[in-house]
Amino acid sequence: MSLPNATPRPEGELEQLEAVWKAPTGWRILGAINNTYIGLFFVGAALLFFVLAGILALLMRTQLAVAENDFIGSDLYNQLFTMHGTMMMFLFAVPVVEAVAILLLPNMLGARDLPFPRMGAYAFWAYFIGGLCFFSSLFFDLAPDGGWFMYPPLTSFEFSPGVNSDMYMLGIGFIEISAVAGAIELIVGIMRTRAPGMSLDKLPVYAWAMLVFAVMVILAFPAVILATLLLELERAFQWPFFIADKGGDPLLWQHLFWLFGHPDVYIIFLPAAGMVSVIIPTVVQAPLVAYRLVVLALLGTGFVSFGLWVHHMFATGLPQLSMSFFSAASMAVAIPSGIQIFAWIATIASGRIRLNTPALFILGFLVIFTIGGLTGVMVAMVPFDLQVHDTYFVVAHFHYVLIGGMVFPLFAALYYWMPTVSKNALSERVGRWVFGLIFIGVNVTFLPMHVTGIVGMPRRVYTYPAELPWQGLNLVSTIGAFTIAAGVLLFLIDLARKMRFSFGENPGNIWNASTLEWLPNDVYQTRSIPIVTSRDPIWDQPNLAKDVEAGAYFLPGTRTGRRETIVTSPIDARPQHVLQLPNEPDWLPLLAAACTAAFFFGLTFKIVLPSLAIGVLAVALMIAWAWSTDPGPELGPIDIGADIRLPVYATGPESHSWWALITFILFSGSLYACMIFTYFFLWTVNPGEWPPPDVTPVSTGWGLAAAASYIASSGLVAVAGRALISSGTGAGLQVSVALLTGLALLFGGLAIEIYGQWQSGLNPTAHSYGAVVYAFSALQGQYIGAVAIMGGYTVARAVSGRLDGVRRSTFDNTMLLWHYTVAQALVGLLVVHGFPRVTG
Amino acid sequence: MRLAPAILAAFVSSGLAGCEGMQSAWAPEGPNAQAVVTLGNIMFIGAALILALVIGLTAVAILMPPERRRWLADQRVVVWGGIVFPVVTLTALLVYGLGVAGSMVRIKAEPALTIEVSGERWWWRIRYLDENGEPDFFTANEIHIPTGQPVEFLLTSPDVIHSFWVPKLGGKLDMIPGRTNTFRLEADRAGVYRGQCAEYCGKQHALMAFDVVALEPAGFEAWRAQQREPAAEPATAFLNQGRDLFLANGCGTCHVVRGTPAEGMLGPDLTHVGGRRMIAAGTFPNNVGTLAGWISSSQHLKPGNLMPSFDALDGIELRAIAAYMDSLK
Amino acid sequence: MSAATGGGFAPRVLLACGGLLIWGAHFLFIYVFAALACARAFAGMRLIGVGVVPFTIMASTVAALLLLAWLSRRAWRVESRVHAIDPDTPRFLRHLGAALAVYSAAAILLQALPVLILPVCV
Repeated sequence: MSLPNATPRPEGELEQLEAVWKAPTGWRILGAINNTYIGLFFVGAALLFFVLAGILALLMRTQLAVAENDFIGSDLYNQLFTMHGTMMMFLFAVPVVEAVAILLLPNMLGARDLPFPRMGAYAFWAYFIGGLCFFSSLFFDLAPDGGWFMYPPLTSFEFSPGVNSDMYMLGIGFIEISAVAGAIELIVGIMRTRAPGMSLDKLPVYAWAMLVFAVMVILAFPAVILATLLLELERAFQWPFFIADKGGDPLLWQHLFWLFGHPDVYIIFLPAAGMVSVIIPTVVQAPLVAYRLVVLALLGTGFVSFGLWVHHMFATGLPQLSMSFFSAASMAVAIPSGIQIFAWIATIASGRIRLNTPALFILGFLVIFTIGGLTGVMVAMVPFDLQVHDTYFVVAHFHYVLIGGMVFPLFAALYYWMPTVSKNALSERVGRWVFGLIFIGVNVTFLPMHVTGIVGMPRRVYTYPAELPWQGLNLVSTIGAFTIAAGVLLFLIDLARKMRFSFGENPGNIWNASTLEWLPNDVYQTRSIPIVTSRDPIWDQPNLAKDVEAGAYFLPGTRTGRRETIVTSPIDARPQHVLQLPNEPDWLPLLAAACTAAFFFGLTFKIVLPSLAIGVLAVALMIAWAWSTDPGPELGPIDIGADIRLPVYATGPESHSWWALITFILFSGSLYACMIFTYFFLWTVNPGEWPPPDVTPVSTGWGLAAAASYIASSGLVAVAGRALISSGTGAGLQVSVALLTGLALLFGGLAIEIYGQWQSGLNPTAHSYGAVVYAFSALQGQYIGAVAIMGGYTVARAVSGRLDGVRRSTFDNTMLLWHYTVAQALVGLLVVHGFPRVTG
Repeated sequence: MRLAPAILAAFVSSGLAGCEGMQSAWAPEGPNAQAVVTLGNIMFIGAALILALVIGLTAVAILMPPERRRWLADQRVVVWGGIVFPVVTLTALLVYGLGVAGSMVRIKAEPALTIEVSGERWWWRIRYLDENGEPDFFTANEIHIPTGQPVEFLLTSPDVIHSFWVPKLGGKLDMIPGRTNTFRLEADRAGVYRGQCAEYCGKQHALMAFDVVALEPAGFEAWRAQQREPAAEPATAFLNQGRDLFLANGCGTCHVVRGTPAEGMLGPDLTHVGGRRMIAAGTFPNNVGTLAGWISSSQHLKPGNLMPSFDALDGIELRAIAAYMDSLK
Repeated sequence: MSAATGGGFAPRVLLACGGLLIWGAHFLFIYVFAALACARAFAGMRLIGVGVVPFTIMASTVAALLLLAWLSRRAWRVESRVHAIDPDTPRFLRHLGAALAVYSAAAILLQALPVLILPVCV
């Protein structure tokens, strides 16, 4: 095969590439947006929260080391276990696997950066600032204390009147934005910015895992976002979604939470499984056995994990048959895990293993995760679960799967990939000690807990009586916990001693790995973007490293004078166009994140007007940041090599921002599906009283009028679209008038619906029926608000000459969300107005 | 912290005595709990074998010379070990487990007794129903049942979610505001079985326990007849003083002592409190000393519980009230 | 764009994952149906001598498996006709789709199993 570009490359080409990608120096690194830096910050922050949450666990274990201990009282203990769980799940587990991907994936895929670098930076700062604020609540006795899954009625206004629970609802709700933004980035990045030739059958398993992860985040997080929104409405305004006396149901929360919560644990595990699937082949110097079955396993787990949620609710008194569907699905989901374990064993058998530190952590993972998976199958059996649910047996189970299934692969990954970000690898000698201490510590801490639970100790107890024989078991667990801590401490010491950031002076491919992130690279990934013809490019394509470094492949410099990466087709990875990426430093993401954090935390403390003002500022900053997007095609087309000339701009379904919008619409659809589930669930628990007897249903005229207004607004967007294509001098005016009128109609539709319900006497605080009807409007209002901002922004672009028939991505994005918002509204109106009439 | 004696106790009690104990699910005293132990043992053995298989195969993959482990490096191993084997074993396990679940819910006979239990923060309100399903009498924190017969429990809560769990007799069932959950437990033989709340319910969730006392049917009938009686009249002047102080200090606002003007429903029924094994929902053994301590300092002993500390009473008054409570057998 | 390679992105992905989507629809249907039958007290109805819940679950299982079989064949055929630069890619998608269909069928059967063993609404 002849290479795309002739070598040697012209003078100055490399220098120009480096200049364009140069990272900010000194304190200006805080304005970095390159995935390499953001990824590094992200991993570091996640490890910080891991250590902080771990310290909370040490405090808890100290209190439980002896019976009837008085080291920590009930109030603080209840905050500690809530914060330990919440921080580990929301501030460590999901962020760290996302962070590793942000750092590694573009390199592994052959892309120079993620497709939306500033969104990645925003996601990081939102998470970091939000997480620190959330953690600090402990020091003010304001930390939530309802457990990490915060069941009402305990966490509603009657029994948790303080700000503590609001801290969770708003604080964690806000941090979830970060996870979702990261997921959108990963989906678009994995599907659209790969090295040419990296078709789906050659995608590294880790990339498959992160793709499934990201889609799961998009579909599962809405459930908990809606749940926290509803509970916050109940706490702040007394809308009774979960209050039984008023037609609500505490189980509604449990369904919504676990609809998120169960996929969440696979969201955490699958990336780690992906890491294992990429590390093992390197460590044994042989390709992964049964690649297709492993991909099957990832996809199968991703889907089927959405059918397990009720297994967290086996003790709630649901009918046995209903619960058994979830037992069956829990069995089904174990099969893909079996596939992966045997694929890993087969791969190990096919090569020659080097027992370095990453390998030790992988072997530890195999043992500990298998134990956790086996106890998971056990608790999926309802009669057994009814004994061990909410006891230390379950605590043992989930720590085995989480620590075994994610933390061990994470440590393997840290040791394995350290040479790509640091001048020195970590110490192998110390690494063995770290592994030994953590492996032994985990087993000493959590193995006895299986027994502790079976002999009757429930979860979440700050003390236990001396008469019961739990003392010894607890003390052993505490000793184990400190052993784990010693291992982690040793790791941190070694990290401080050895790690020195470097993105250009790295040790190189010291493990002889096969995937692209090990090519000679810098902050811009490789000098030139390679063509990939195999799953293990470095092993199978001779001279790849040399040729890439010499600039013989695609885009060895910069053609537009800006940062660039290649956008490829989703299945075959054919080059389609070149993406222009923003420069550094860029302070807008950081500032916008800080303002968003201030908005949410201000609302938590009920400082409403200042919070709203800061919220407006956050939106203004985002608009400023967006203003430099959608550059239009002027700088292209450009020659990337091999006589391929690519445009530097795309619109419609080929555009990367279209894909991001579609992904956001999938997220929104999932959110709305949860809203509809809420409606029908509340109907189910209010037989014969839907609506309740004292409520007169609103006449359909209101619903029809609202629908008409919405449909008309969509019509006007279509009119604006046609005006844009006709692209004459008056087009800007026509587009603006159409959009602004359309916005008025959107607000009109919402106003008609809300007013119609209100004038009929419907009250959101009297019964869950009213609450859910108005909740539909509350959600709709948020979407209309977003569309209004986008619509106004689009008008500004049109008026300032930055929008026309060719340069139209901004309009397309607005149009997509607009039509979705209208469709969402129509579905909601159909349910709210139509359903009570059907059931009579 | 009392660390040193605790370490000693740890070495003595860890593991070996573990399976016993009043609250151990692995020392079953009823048919439901026994069925779970059988299911659990089968699963433990299966799990141990599968773990050994995985560890063994991994060891083969690493330690055997390449020619001897080539068979393991094949995609067919993934199909047989990762698909066929799990499908077969998990299907078999599912069928067996569903069978166990089914046998527990298929109702055979009428229950011998129905008891309503309401989980409150942080104690147990118990109301017995008579043969006609009519309310019979209240008690708190201690349930007596006859041996050898299924007893039906109707579970709910007026405040937050609690969970009713007596490990030696069976699995747990949540007590959810707005719902009444029903299940049955049966004790094979006489004994005292400890239960504990198993759903985090706030500040003192850790100190919300109860006793189930299983008696031979004759003994149970005797107990039930006694519970139906109003409170014992004070037999001495001191006890009389105790009752007067009980009423004068407003205890009747929250507590019922049948046969006296005390009719408050906010707290536990104290008509026969003296006969119970423990007080404060399984927190302290029941005697005059602990009763007095509880009355005067409940906020120190179980901070945040809904009974204030009556610390303005002097020593004699306290002892009198405590003695009166203790006399209510 | 996509037409040139014969078969757009969305249709090919949906076909490859179709088995899992059918699994999900089946799961949702049987769960909601069983829950409503108990919550709205019509579980006592009988159809051709069998309780309405077991009947509906078994009927929906048969329907799901038939739909799955049809969809898998269609997916295989679509991926056999696609013109691709690298024939490994459609072959991979064919095999992946087929394997996902087998897995989905197993999962559908597993979740239908309980209705043969357990009574309803207890």
